[in-house]
Amino acid sequence: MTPETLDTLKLCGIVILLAPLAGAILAGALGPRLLRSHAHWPAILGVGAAFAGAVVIFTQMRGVTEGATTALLPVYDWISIGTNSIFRVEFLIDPLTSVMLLTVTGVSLLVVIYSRDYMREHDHPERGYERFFAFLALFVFSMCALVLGGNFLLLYLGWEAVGLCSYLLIGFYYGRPAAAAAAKKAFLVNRVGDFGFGLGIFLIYLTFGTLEYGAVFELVQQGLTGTGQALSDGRITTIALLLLCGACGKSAQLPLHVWLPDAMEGPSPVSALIHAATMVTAGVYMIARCGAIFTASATAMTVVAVIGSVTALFAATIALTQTDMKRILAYSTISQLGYMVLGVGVYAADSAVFHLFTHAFFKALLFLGAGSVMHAMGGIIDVRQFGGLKRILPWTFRTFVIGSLALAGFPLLSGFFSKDEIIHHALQAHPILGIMGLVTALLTAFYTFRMVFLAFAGPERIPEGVHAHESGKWMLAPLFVLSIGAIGAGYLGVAGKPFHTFLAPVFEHTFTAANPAAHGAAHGAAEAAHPSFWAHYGLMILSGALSIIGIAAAYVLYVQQNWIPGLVKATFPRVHKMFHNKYFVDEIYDAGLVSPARNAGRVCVGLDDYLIDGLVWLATAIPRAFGYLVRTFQSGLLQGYGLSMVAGIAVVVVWVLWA
Amino acid sequence: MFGATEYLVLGSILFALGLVGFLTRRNLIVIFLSTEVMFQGVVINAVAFARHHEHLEGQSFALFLLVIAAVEAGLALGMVVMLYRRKGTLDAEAWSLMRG
Amino acid sequence: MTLDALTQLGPEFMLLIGACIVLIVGATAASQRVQWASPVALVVVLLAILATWRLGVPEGDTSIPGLWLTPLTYYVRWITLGIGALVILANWHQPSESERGEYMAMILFSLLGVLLTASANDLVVLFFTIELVSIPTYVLIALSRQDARAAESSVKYFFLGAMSAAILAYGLSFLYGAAGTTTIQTVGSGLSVAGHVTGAPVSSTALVGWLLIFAGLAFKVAAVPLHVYVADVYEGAASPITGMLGFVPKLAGFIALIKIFAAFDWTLPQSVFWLVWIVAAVTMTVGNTLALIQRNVKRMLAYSSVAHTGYMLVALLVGPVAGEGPMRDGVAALLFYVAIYGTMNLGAFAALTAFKTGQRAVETLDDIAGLAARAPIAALGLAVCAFSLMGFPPTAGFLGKLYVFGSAFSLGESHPFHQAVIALAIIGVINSAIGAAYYLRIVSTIYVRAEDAPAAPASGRPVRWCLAVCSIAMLILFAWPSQLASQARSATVALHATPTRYHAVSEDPDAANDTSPDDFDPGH
Repeated sequence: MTPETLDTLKLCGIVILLAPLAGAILAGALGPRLLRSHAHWPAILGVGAAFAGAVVIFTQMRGVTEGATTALLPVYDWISIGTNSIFRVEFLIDPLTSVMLLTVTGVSLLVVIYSRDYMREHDHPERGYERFFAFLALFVFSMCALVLGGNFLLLYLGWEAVGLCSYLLIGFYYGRPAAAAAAKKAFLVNRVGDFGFGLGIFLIYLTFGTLEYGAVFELVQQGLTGTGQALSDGRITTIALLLLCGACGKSAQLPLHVWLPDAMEGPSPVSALIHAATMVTAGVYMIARCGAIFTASATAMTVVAVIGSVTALFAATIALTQTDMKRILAYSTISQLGYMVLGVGVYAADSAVFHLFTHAFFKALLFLGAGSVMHAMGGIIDVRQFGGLKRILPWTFRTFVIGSLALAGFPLLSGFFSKDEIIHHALQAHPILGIMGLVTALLTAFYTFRMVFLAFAGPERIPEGVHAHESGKWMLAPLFVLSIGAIGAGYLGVAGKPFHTFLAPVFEHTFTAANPAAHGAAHGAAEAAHPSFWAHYGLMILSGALSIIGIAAAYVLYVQQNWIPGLVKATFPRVHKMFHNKYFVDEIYDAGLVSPARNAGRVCVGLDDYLIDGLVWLATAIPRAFGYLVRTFQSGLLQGYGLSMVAGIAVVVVWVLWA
Repeated sequence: MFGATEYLVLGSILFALGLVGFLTRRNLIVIFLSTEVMFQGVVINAVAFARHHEHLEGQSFALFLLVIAAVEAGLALGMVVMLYRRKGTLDAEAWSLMRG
Repeated sequence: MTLDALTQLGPEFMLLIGACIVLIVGATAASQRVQWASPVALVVVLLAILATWRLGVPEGDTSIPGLWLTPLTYYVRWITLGIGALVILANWHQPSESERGEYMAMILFSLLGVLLTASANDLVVLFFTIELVSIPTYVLIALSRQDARAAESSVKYFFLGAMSAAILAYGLSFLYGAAGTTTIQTVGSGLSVAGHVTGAPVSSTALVGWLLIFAGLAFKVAAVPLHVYVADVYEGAASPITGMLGFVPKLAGFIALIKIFAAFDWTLPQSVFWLVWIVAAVTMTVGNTLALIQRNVKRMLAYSSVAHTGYMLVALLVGPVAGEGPMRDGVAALLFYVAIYGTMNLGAFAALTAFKTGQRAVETLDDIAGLAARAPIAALGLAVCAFSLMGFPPTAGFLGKLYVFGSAFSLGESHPFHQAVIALAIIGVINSAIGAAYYLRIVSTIYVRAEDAPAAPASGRPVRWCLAVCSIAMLILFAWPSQLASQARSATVALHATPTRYHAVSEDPDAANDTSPDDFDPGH
């Protein structure tokens, strides 16, 4: 890369960070008094500028024809310890960063535009309008910092900051107890993950003596620690698993997935942006970024793949029985994130990122569509309470179907290509996990269209007293744009695979080099170059067929013969109950962790009152007692003060001179 | 003719007298005058050292000390007037509202 | 000394002329004209900042007698004038009566004193500038409000200040006697101390001088046992001027201490090392424990100011390490910390100024209970400042503590007392934990407790601006401390001065002719 390119990249990085931050500050500071119902403008402009910056970075990266495609751009020194050890604020810009930035800022821009109408009732801004946009812009800033950061410290800061924004936005309607509880749950569950993540980063610093990505990854690949000793397998596996712990929390993977469905208490645009398209993919991004660390430990990679595939299947079964549209989508998000984690776990990081990219379009589309339904239904989102909306909400219906087809993996839409790739790689690496992926694909098609048919097909049913209406242009425009993405994004991954070619340099030395399946394929290089028709298209046809079967089954069960689901429910009550209650995970946590903790808490309260309180009392009492003792010198008398001063000086002089 | 030590002792006696006065007298004016006595002790010290080193730096130090002492005297005068107007007394112990 | 040399004192002249104008106009104009005093004072400070910026970093200029313009001068000009502008904002509507001209002039004089302290190269000048810092503050406290407590506060501060000034002067006279010169640069060679060896012997005259100077300056920085006045003075003065009292005398005192330590070339006799060690430990502990039992927020912050002095003394004890940043260099850490402390402390007092309960100024914890519900933004500002005082990320206070204690922990084993310094830093960390208890009480009071008597907004916008700038600065300096840190680092360059450098200055014939005190020296 030329110096000019580097300068441009750095400038763009700074704009991407500062523009949303400025937007957040302006919306928050000027919103209440000055901007009022125009408080969305700073956020829209800030995020728009960030998107423009991301586009420029992308075009610059595309233009790089030779040499390294990775740029480490120091912005400034944060803290320097001694002369050589320095914590820098620095950007790491490579194709992966570029793709993530485009996704994050692009979806954010659409969501911010959408929110302009969504956060209004009868064209009157809701309470907290400016707060909403300030938080949203702050989120974009934090997420971009996470993605742009060139070392683990910035990654961690961004990681915590997006968590904070997520917490603030889930609890946006803090007056509602459910929202407040959901925010608290998200916060606490994420703390568990972040604790592991923080430990992992600390261990990285202890092991390698630096937190800069490039330096750490190079040492890992050389198998050395910071002091030049050999790096043990146990150490690197521990680091990888601790980092994975953070990814499980942020990307809602088993067993830390419980917060995401509850997070739907936040406004729908937040669900679309933070809890579907961007923040929850941070875990996947992190694993892809730390490919050097993960691929250094085969154990860790297997754990990643297993967690991903199990989560995908597990969440899909739960989604079968839910009736709240946003919750169905939430479980589907968990399931799709499972695919992505599976993807990185089977050394197909490029496919995982590709799925992340397409998923951002169709899942944001679905959430915004659900938001549009919710807006029309006066805040009701349970599919049992309405139906047959396709005539009332014609445009929402059409775009929603496009999103659903993409999610279901319907042939030739974006989700089809990206999901297919992951399953393909999974089948190569761990056939069982691949088959689980295929089953999940079938279930996905089924539950997605169950939701579509329940909400939009059949006779028109709307809750009483609701004046249903199609949404305005501010809300529909983003839906159209996302629909185009949901249809077309997948083609970047076929016919020459421009997407994968673009990303290839990032994973060249990590996932690609370490992939055992690729080593196996090297023997039959000829076969790899000219795969037979069935090897190439067989899986595509199979997964396409599964998708169509799933959709058809949903059609039969929920439109034509809609007595069957009731029968199934009656025949297998236990299974249904298990799915409907999400495998009782919340209950298990409640019984296994929360209740015992609470009971133990009650026992402890007893102890606490006497023992701990006593100790705490003692801990503060000693300083306090000392304070009261010293206070006797604070007589309030001028000459009393003079006396203590002179006495003090006299003691010192005598001691120093004659001691 | 005395050496430097005698002057230093004289200065320290003045300084100590001022200090004792500061701590023991009740009237704010006298307390302030005691600080002036302390300053005079310092002045003697400075001049004594100047004589010992046979140069004038200490002399100029003494002059500047007198300036500071004068400034403080001016300030003290204003303050004493203000205080007397407020409480009608110049007893140092009258001003002990705040403590602890 | 030429006119060219005098332009090097641009910021100081700005303040001097500005202060005189404000003083004279304030004293003669009709009382409604006095409204102009605050804006004019602010403009003066901003002009001085402009002059500082235009002049750039002076490189050890000794062409003005008694002064030595170094990068330290530059750094102190920036932080003093920057925080000084905020002080003026906080005091914008203070006092409400007609004395505002005098009041603003006194603030400007006090700031001028700090700037000159940073350049002082003569013991007499140093004494003068320290008094120039202090004397206006006595007046400021008395003028700040029409409360008997303000008068009491002024009286205690003035009389004890006069006593401590006499002690300081007495100490300076002994140091002069021992060194045979009042020029600070040459004091070291006069005492013939050399090298970086802690534990070297010094003559008892010099030692007495050192002890008395330390005592006199301990009063300015509020170190035990000369801290006793602090709470009463802080409580009595109006809140906005209290915010200034926490910074201006402390900064001047620490600069003077740095200069005296540097004059001894950072060579401390063993007993003196232990003295400073004990004073630092006791100051932290006494400050924090006394703050813990207060219910009046101003008194709490006053004792916390004592505790912060203790932390700064740790950094002073570490001393400078040539060419290193504040993570190793104690003096750079101290200079960084004092700037941060001045800002966050002023912010906290500005938050108190912005409210009143009934006709009374906000003072106690009860007064600020539930503040967050009514004034969320101001409460957030106060919370940021409290977290910064506590030393929590993401605020600059965290970095301040990190630098101070980090410099202590990274002291090399070549230092004869490095274990003792590390032990002191551990005491400091424990003290920070005690400190967190009462700062958290402030935060929980404004957020959690229900209000008893609702505090109403007082004073106008400038105070809020001051609070906003202080709290935002704490966040920005956390994200981007490198500029301030590197300035603090280069400010210490002149203080590493090895004996050879001192000799180079004093033996340079041109410099010797220009440093006037030597001209009169018959024995030279």
